[in-house]
Amino acid sequence: MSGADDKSSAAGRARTPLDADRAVIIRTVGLEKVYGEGEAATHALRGVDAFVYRGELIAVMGPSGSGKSTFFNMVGALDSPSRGRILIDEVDVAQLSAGELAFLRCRKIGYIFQSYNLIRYMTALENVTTPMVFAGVPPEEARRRGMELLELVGLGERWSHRPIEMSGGQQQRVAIARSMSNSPNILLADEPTANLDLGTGQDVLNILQRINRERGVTVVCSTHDHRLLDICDRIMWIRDGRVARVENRTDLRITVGRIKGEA
Amino acid sequence: MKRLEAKNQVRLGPARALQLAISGMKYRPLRSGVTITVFSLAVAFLAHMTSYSLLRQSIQSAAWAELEADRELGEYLTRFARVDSPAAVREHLARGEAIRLEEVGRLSQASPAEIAIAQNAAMTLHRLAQALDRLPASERAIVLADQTASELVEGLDQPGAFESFADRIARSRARLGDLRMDDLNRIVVESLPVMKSVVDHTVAGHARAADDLRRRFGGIPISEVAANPPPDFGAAVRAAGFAFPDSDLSRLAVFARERRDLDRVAKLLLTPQTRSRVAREARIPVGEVSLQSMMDRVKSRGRAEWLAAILRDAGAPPHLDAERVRTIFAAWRHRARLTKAVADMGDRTNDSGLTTRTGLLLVLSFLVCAVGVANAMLMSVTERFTEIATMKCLGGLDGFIMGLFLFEAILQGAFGGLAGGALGLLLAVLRGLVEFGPLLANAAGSMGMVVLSVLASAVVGIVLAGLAAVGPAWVAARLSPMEAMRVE
Repeated sequence: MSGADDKSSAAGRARTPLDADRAVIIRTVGLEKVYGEGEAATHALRGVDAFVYRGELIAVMGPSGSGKSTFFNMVGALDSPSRGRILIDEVDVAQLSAGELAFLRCRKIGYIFQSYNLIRYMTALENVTTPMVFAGVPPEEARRRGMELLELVGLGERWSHRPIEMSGGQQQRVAIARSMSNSPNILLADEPTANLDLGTGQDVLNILQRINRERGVTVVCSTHDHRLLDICDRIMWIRDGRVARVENRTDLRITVGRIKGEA
Repeated sequence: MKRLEAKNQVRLGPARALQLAISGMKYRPLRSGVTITVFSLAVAFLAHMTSYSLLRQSIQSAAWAELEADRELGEYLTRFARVDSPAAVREHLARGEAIRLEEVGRLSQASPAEIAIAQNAAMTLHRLAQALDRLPASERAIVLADQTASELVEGLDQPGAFESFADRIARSRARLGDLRMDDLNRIVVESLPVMKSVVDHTVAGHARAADDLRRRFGGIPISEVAANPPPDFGAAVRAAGFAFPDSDLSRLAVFARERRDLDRVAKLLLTPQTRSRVAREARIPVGEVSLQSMMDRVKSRGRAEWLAAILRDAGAPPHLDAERVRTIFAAWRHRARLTKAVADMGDRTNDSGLTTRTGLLLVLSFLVCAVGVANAMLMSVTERFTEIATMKCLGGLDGFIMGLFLFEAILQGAFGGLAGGALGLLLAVLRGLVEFGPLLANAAGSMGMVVLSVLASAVVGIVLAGLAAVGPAWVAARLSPMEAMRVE
């Protein structure tokens, strides 16, 4: 682990120092991503060095167009960088073959998307058990675990319903259950509450927090939702394709007004 | 840096793939329905073209065979009374039909050797005439001047004719296929006189034979005799010198009777009283009364009885009753249908199959089928990119995703293919019914081939579905999840 973060480097980039006692599960080194070519090239990421500790809940925040989503896709091995490295559990993701990537996505990482991305013609239970099928779990055990997970997110009775019969919040909860299918180490949630109303959004955040605390799963959440600040351990601010600031929650100074009657 | 050990990765089993494909289709009934319909239409087109071609071919060859048989019978009747022209005899020689050659031998009393020489000459000269007909216009003008090809060929043994001919060939530089001038010269000099002698003797012999028969049957026209032939008819005809197998006798009798009766009806319908009566009772203008119009009108038992009664009153023989009228009219209509059926028969010498025109149509319909299938598959795959990306995020292997799509495509292809095949066959049969009417029954023998061709079309559809799906599915499977989602 090189000391990729030097506090005395260019001004304006305040970071927490790397705690050598804690294990790092995700690391990016000099991550760059360019879309397009020549004149029309967009530099979405301009050299991001970041790390995520094992077992923490980290929020990645930033305005639209800041490169937050791009960074997220990189970390989740959904897209490949133009330059730089991503190390998940010290494995260089860019070096992996298609089959190995599939394995990674199947067993080590769980994904939660803003638009749920459930398979519309499958029931909730079938959606949840699909990753297990890919992992070769026998059908009976898959069903059992699938039901357990649905109950974990509070949707036990809706196991036979299809996405079209469920509200947004319910679909997202099914997506969360699905993401935990093969008990991954890492959960990547891309704006999980963006399409949900306040109440359901809160439910989802509670579930994420529970998963993080009770099962020790590392959760990386990219979000606009400031309520996430309640439950996360660290926050990474991204602006203009670079990490602007990383701080512990305890160090945060939050002034947020509350409107009477808000949930 | 650690290495990742990817183990226990799951390949797609056929049962699972089938299950996923079916649930996918059930969820999207409209999309699947459209896809299957497109397939089935494309396959129906192909199946229809192939099966209809086969049906038509089968019907046409059966019809042709029947017409040929009838023509043969007609020819007998004609030739027993009327003498062949020298040109006709030459054509018999050139064609080389065994039975005719035998007859030529009998009628001309020439030796087999002479006949062989005559035949060779006739064939060569026939080919020469054909070659001359095929010359380009400029060369024809020089070689033929103001004669026809056959006139020139017939006159080749005149003194100086061949030299003049050879000279004109040389001047025009005409090519006569594989006929060589020295061969032709030899034939003109040596064989042509023999051939002419044989022909002349045959013609004379034919005249004698016709006379013999006329005397033998007491001056009654042969067509009458043949309608009710005495038991020794065959022997008498052969004794006169004609070639006539006894096995043809019964068919000849039926044919002759039909002709005779039709002639009688036609004649009766010409007499003024009968015509006006028919016109009055049938409520048609007098000018429209003819054998043809009666054959079109009189089909049912009732009408036949009406006409028979009129004919009887006009003096028809007793055997020309309603039943007989119906029979001969039906036979005539049948023959008309046969003639119509073979009317557009192309190149008959191509026995094994299909004319170029049909072949071209088949290729075109094949292309239409392929395009239809590929388009449907492409639409189906393109709108599911997000689903593919999701699957990849959950760990689906590229092969899994491709297999999924291929399976679904093949399943849809199977449904569409079988439906289309059945539809195409049905349409072909309907079209056959419309075009050939009752003649369709003649095609029954080739139904095996037809069903086979329909199945083949269905298989073609399924294979095409699979092939067409491979491209898009492969591309989709290879996208990284983010790229796939970006396409949306």
